[in-house]
Amino acid sequence: MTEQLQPLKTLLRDPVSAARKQAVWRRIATRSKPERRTGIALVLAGAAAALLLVAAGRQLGFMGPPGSAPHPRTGALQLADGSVIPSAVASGATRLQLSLSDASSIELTPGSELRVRQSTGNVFATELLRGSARFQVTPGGPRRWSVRAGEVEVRVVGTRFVVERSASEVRVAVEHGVVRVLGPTVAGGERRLVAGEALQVAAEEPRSTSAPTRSPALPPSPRPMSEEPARVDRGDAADDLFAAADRLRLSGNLKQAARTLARLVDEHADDPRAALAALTLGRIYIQLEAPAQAVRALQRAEQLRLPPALEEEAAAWLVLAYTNLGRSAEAREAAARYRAKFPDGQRRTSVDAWTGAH
Amino acid sequence: MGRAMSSHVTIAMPMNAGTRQASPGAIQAPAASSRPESDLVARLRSGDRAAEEGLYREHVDAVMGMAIRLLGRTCDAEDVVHDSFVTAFEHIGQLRDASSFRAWLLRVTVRHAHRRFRRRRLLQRLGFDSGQDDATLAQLAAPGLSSDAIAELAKIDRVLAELPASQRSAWLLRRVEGLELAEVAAACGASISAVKRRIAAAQARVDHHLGLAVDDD
Repeated sequence: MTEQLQPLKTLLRDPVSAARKQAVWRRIATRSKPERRTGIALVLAGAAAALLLVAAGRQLGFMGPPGSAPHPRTGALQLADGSVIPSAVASGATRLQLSLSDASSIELTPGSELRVRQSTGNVFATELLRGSARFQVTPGGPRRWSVRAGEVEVRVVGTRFVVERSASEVRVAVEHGVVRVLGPTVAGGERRLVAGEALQVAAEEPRSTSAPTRSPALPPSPRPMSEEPARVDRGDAADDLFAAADRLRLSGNLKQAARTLARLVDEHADDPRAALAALTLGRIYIQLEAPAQAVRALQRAEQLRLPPALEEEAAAWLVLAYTNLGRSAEAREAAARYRAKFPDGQRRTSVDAWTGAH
Repeated sequence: MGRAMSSHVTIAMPMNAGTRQASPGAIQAPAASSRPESDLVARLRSGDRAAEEGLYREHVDAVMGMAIRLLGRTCDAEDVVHDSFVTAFEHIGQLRDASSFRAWLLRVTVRHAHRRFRRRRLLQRLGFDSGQDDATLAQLAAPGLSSDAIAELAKIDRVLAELPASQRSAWLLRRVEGLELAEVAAACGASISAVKRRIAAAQARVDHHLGLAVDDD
């Protein structure tokens, strides 16, 4: 049979833009190497270097057993300004963001406390003592990240995720990438979570011998958490609204999540999380194909005080929202603002593509 | 496309093609057959690097479009386009027939794309791939395409993600790019019978997931 079907590309739009062609030509003409290479060799070299570091560290007695006090910080992670990461960090009444030397970041919600258990050239181990923290881990680095909360341990490669610890439970929600959650209260001892999934488990194994069941909070299957109705009433605290919106979003109920987030932004504009709520709201509206509402939410996010780590994301999503709305002039202006503020931004290529610019 | 099999929602990432304009100094679309290709190749062989731009203009649309569709990720595709042209320009002496530059270039591009894809898969297995696919078939769906058709494209994307790289490339070149079998074989550096087997194997997986029975080569 030699019948030639209609090529599928006839059903596709042309993905080649003048801007993209020009950008590649510039690199060819100057014979400059591509900017985004993530070479296997580099990764393997990094892994080899990490192994060597471990070996050298052990040989020289630099590395103590897990849990020991961090040694002299040869190769240890530092704060972005070069200073040493405190061994214990507590946020007060406001959110606290730690920007680290490898471009990773940790954001503590108000009232949270984090302890650094070990920080070396190849390990960065923390423990969330209370509250909630969002971790954004730069992928491909030489360090093995882990976060402990009670008896639960989250192991990370390169990802963005949130760990929340209450007196009785630990909740892990993955926004990007993959993590492994380990602990005696995790079904089977270990669960792998991918983006969009969440897991809620008991913080510690029940001590009572009459309670053999591991954790009543364990979800029965690897589905997004939150089958619960996440109902919120008028007058709810920002905490409740934020938690409810998170559960609704992770369970796929985007419209209800958007309504909850909109309430949070309207009723708790003074809350430090209002800006983050507005940003999330903007993203949800884009997914719901409601670009006008997305524009309003993202503008609101910019007016409120966004954490610096999220400013770029907000600026990029605003470009997309304007583009989807068909307001090309505003999209180009927003793109120009994005490029001016983030000349080496991670979303530069997408922003250029959305606006067909150079 | 056949029957709709699902109702997946795909977020549109419009390129706003209607408003796209080339800026001053940008590379313009090539004038139709403004200069014989073999002439440009001959000039390049003689060391005239200005001929590079002519060849780039002449072939970049085909090369970049194919690379994006093969890889499903624009940043990877841009790197592949870069590498392919640089390879072609720097090894132009290896091209025996100056009039077959296009086929040779596409072969180089497929080889680079194939290599890139396998590297990405390895990085994914190691947990080091942080990139996002932004040009899958479903994401590239033309404006006006029905949601059913887009849902089927998304299904094909999922099948392609699981295929061996050699089957994936051959199927994409044949079914998406519409190349003749001989061209697919040349681009993949394999025999016609080998690529026919790869395409058939990939097609069987696609048909199975779409619930369709489609004649094959």
